[in-house]
Amino acid sequence: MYITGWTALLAALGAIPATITRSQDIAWLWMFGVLTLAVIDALAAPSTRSIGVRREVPHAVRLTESTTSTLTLANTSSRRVRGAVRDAWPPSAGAGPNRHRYSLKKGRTQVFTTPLMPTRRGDRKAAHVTLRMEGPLRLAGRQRALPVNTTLRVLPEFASRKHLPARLARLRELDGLSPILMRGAGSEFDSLREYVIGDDVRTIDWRATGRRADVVVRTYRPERDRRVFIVVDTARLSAARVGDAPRLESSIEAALLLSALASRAGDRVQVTAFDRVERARAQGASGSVLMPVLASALAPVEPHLIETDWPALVRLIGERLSQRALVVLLTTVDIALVDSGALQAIAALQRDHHVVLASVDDPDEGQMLESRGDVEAVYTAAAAARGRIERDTVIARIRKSGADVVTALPDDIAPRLADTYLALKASGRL
Amino acid sequence: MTTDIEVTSDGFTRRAEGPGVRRRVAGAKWFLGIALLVMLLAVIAYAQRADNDYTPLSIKNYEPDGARALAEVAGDRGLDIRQIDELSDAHIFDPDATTLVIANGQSLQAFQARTILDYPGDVVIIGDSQALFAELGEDLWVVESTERTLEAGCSHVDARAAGTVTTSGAVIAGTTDATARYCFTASDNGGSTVVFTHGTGGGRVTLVADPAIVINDTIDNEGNAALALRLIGKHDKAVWYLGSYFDTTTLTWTSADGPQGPAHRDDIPASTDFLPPGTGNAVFALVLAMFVVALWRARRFGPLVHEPLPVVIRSSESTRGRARLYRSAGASGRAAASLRASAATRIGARIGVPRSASKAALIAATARAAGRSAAEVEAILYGPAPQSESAMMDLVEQIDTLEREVHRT
Repeated sequence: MYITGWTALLAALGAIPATITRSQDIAWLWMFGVLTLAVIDALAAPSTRSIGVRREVPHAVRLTESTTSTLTLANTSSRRVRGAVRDAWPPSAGAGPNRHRYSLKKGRTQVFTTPLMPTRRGDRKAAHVTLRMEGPLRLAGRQRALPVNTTLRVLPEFASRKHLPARLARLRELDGLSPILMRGAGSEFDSLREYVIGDDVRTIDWRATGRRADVVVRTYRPERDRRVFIVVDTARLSAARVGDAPRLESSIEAALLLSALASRAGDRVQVTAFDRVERARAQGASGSVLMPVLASALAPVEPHLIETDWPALVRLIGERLSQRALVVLLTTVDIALVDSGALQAIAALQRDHHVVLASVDDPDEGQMLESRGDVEAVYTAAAAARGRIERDTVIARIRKSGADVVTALPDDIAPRLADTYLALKASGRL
Repeated sequence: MTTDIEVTSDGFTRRAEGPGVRRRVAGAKWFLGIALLVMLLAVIAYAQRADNDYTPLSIKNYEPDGARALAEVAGDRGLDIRQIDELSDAHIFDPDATTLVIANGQSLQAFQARTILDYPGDVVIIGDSQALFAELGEDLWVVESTERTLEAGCSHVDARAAGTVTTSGAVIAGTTDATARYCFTASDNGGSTVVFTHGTGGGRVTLVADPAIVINDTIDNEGNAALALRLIGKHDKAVWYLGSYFDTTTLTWTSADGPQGPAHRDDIPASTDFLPPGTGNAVFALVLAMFVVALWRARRFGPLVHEPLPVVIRSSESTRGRARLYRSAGASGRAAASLRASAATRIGARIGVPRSASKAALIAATARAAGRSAAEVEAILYGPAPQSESAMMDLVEQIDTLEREVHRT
């Protein structure tokens, strides 16, 4: 049961008879009278059984984009029903005005929309739909919360897609498709053509030149159909915040940009989110299907406050990959990697594949390094310096095993990783 | 809760058939029993309430601070005593045979006090009242005395009949007109508990400084009852006025010459601060309505929604934690070593000395770039660890200066 503002107003009107009669007893009587009337009105209100509720949302929406939740009410009773309905969503779903008044004749349906503007990636589970059925006097009514299961999947923002056109242009240059650079880079033999002034003399194919009257050069193009295996680390270090968001968000952005680029380059992309077990997985998709599949797979991934099981990750990659591939580990470079067996795992992977380790730097660190003034600030600078030295040591040990390491600030990690990929492709190290 | 929900084939969710509120209420006999009991108790409480009030000095109040005992005894002896909340309710038709008692005159204003003192009959004023005292004499006020039992000490017939009274210590200090008589005088400060004087209208005015003389708790002490009964029972009728802040009316009476208004009618200021009659009841009704408003606003439109929140620990927290550890341990040597190493790395990168180069090579290159002696550079970058925090601060200063010199080139 609930009471409306009309009941409160009616109770306040009791001031008039109380003033006229100058009696507190009249004020008491008036209030109890109003409350009794409200109770009677609530008992006369239609049952909460008389309304059926259906809620529909689109399957998925990209973060920062808006959508709507559609609520349909159907009056299944034989009388007119009036009241209000609340379409409840958690705060991070960014629901706009979600309370609607309805008035339904017998057998009618009515549709309401609630605007949604999610503020966080992941599966947003809707809360109850609460129905209020007004009594005939509008003083009070009945209330009931119905659990209507609805889930809105909020996909990663993929803000790094703005870096994609520049990287694709660079890829076309590598491919030799661009009219500016006639000779493609890379190591895979493509075709023979006539020498033009400006070509590298080292690419002249003397054997073919001997067979023909002209000087002939070989052209190369980057390898195609390579495997790219991206691992998004969801262990405890991915939960820490850098800037405004957890590290994991930057890792997902980087994974999305690299996947988009690699699939355009003709490589086959697999993505896995891993800590001690596999949290999400996207493989087997290519072309235009890849990005939706990938975004949907990575959408519900959350950081877990546990340590990564590196040997298990090596076994998983061994099962999934049968030929040489580019393995990208989106994790965090930290002194903890030394103890957790990560270095051995990277060395093991590097034997069969090429490993690139990408890590998000903390933008606060530079500021802390330069902090001076009092003793506390200097100790902070010393701690930051010590952290950086330790990290440099770890990076040097990883590089020693032949793997590449990319570190950048949260906004730069995606383009930097994409550039590293292009550089590897250009130099034919894939 | 989830068990009584059904989902139809076309995707609509609704509450399943089940016992409704009405049937559940009807089924719960104990609920009806409790409801009846509560109503019965409410009726009993109401009936009790009508017979009593809790206002101090009220003649309906049988609490220790009420004056019911006095009124009951006086009534039994034939006194027609009536309590009023507003001066305009006095309805006095024969001032010569009606005693006006002002109990709790604290809230009276000057224009009301003047109409009271104009009253030609007897007036008894119990307790403090700034307005009335100010009209009677400039230097009348109530002070505290340490004496609790006081002798009459004067020739007034009522005082002599009472003999001795007990008080809670309030006495009147100062003097009023020449005809006034001061009784029950305290020896420590010369104040009197009872002052017999005259009003501007010629009526006899009796000031009783201490309500302890009339309240239920202490009326049976010594001569309190005798004094109180003699003061209010001088005539056949008594009007007991209980002051309240909502009362802005003035006293009127009808004498043999016809209805009498306040003589100082023109003195009454037309102030917007005056509250119309019934304001107190209106405020009371609105306060009750506030409870209904609270009921209206307190009912939530459905349950609260849960939000699973992500971690909010910043990545830099671990570095700051390490800094606090250094500080609490006073690890100035270790901190300086870290800063030296990182500065050496940066300088090396700047002037192109590889990380694998020897210490001597770095020192030589740095000395050249900074224009300093090699010994100086070695002392800064590889000298002994500082022993105190102040030494560490000095060293940091030197490292920064060296780094600036290198970067300038």
